[in-house]
Amino acid sequence: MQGISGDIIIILAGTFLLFCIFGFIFFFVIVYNKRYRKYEAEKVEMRKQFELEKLQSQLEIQEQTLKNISGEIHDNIGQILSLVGLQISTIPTNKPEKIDQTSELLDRAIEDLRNLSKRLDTDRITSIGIIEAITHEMKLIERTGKFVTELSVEADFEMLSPDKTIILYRIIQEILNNIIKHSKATKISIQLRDNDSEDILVIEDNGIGFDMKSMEGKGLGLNNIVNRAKLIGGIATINSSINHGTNITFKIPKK
Amino acid sequence: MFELIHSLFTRIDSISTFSVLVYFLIKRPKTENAFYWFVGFILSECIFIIAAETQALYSKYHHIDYNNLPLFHLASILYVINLLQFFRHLFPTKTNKVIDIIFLISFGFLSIFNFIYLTRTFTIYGLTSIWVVIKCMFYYSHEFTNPTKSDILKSKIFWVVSGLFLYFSVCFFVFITYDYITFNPKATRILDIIPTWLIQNCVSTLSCGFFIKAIKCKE
Repeated sequence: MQGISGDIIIILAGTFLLFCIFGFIFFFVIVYNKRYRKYEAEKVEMRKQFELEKLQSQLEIQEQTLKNISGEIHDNIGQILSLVGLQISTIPTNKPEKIDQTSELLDRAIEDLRNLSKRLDTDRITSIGIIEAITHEMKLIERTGKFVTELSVEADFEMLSPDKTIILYRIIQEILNNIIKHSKATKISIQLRDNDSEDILVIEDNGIGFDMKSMEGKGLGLNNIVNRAKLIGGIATINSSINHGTNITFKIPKK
Repeated sequence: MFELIHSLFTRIDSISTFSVLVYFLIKRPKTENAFYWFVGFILSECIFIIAAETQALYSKYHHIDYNNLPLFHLASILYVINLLQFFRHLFPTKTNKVIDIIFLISFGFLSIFNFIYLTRTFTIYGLTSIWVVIKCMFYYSHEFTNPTKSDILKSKIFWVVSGLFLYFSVCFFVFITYDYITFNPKATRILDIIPTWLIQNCVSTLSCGFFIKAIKCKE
């Protein structure tokens, strides 16, 4: 009898131990899966953060380069061309119309370079503000004669810091360049408005548009726009369909 | 009836171990090196079972007394070599090397002692159990701190380690109490020593279930 109760104790102890081990493995699997999901989320977040930081440093380098080029155009090439203009006007010639044509071409080149210099100059953009900079940009596009532009300003975007202004301006420039190059649009409109919590910027064109689905994972330029918007704490929404133009909306929190 | 059940239970661990090997040979999954060392461990178990059964049959046929202790000691060495390699592939870290060295020194000392004196002792299996359980805990801890698998239930190594952990942690008590229970003058009836081996056999079968799952896993 004593032997049997001993056996039962051994069996019970063994079974209990077995349950404990199974419990441990079961518990481990549950906790592990939870932890893995958390770890993955952290990894994704870190990767996003890294991408944003990388983008920010790329933009800083780009801004510095553009600033240098702008300075070089304004201070060096612009000055040289002005001197060339002066020299040309003093050349004695029996064909003054040729000199006049050359001077005219030179003046246009100087004007274009000056505009380019202004567009690239970071300090100028922050000092005149985003609205003035956009207005200037739209005028330049209008001057080509290929586009009708429309700018509607209902908000002054005054809460934007200089860094954010530059980034937003560069995004707008990139979008406008894309419209000019690819959209086959005839009309471009920009609206600046706001609500209690956000500044809203909408860029629209009436071009050929594109298929959003076919651009998934391919549109590096579009991803770049979205990522840059994130960099200034905003959200970019791109809507487009074939033959119905493109609409890009930025929402930037005021705080 | 009792003898039949007894006979079945005394063989169930051998049957399940062979099943694992056969299943592996049928499936032949392509996997990492560590897993092949684990298969080596299963293979050594099968070889041991065949050798032990052959020896028992031979002795019975020729009516001679036999001593299966050298075979037991040899098998334990084979198990340890395979498991050592299995765990070395999993954790090539310094801490683990130190643990292995400490274990190997103790194991080597006990092995020599066992071979010289042919002592019927399961201390060596107890020691191996502690070592394997420590290694398994290392695995769990490592996986817990560096979770890299999206679904750990699809990891072959997880199932192997869990099988080993289950077997060695439960059977540790069987191993260390084996001598006491088997050679206890009070344990005269077969029933007195059955429960311990019944637990060992059941746990071994359950572990083999884990091992089959490991072979079945598609990572």
